[in-house]
Amino acid sequence: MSDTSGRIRLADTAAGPGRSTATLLASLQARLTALHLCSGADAIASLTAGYAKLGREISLTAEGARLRKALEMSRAAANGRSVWKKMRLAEWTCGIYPTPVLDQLRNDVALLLADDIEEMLNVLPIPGEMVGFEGMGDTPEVDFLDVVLGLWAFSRELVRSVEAVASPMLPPGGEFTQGTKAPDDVEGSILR
Amino acid sequence: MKISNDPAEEKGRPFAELFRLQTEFQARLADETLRYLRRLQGSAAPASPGTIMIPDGVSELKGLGVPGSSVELRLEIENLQRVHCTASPMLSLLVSASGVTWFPESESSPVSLLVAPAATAELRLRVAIPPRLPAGVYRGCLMLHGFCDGALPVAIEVGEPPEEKPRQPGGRGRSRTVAGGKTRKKT
Repeated sequence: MSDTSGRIRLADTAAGPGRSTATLLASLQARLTALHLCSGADAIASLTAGYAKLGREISLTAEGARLRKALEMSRAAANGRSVWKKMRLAEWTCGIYPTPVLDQLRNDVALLLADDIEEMLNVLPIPGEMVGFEGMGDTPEVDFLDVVLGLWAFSRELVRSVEAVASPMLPPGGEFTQGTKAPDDVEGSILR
Repeated sequence: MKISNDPAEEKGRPFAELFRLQTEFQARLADETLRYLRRLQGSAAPASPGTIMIPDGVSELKGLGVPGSSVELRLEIENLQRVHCTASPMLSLLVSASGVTWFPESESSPVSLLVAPAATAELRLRVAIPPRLPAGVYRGCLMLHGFCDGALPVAIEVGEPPEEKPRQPGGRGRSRTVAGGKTRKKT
């Protein structure tokens, strides 16, 4: 067996706001405000496009590719694509901005763990930034399997995030607590 | 001017082609307008602060193993941001120069990393090498989703499989080595 190690550093993107409690709060607030300014159909289409984008990325990994290959050969893919086509879901999601679902999830988890959240909540509202035309890029047609894989990857990340947040305080399995012992004899009348 | 609903009847008439072109143009215009409006709507979407990964020193993660064994890749992740960051590295397909595509089965420990600000965490990725995998150098990358297409190149060198010892004549079952170097016969 051989092992090698590497090291990477995680930093803020050059474009757009850096990740801090204030900017994450501003982004969350802007997302909630945006829901009032767009239709439900557009919001869901944008989320669907976001899951599809994540699904396309996941398909490049070994695990994602194996899963995709298996799904492609199943009846689920054929049925799903038939429904997708008949309901014209590709046209519905065509050209719409794909929500960065993974970024949003990670940012929300980071907010939950921030140590200055109370302080920052007092300075709301904080102006948020917009995506702009630079952040749009080309949006390919949304495929049914892309959405399925994106939902799978997102759900897995969500489960792992919740477990990771809970892990420092998680009691070991099989723990038990001792209850107080009831007195052997009850003196006097039960009805008081 | 009389316009028929039947395209075959309308075929020979002088304005038929003009109407067809006009209809196509209007349909395309509506489609492009809708696309533009959606793009405009998308540009006003709230930005989500993101993360990028910067490789530190190592240009490629390398591993060496033989079929049937496993390779362990270790990755240290340092968070330079001011808030917690989640990382879930996943291996891509690995391809050798001879054209073999390997869908590696890997097990990471921990499965996902939640790195505190200014902290460093280590992730171990154990890659099982299939017993019948042809020898060669398999290249791919360790992908970190959500980090602007961040990936770290990976090269796993798979050697020739260990030669099987010839079985003793008259042996009925397969034998395997147990702790202490003794051999237990499986019947």
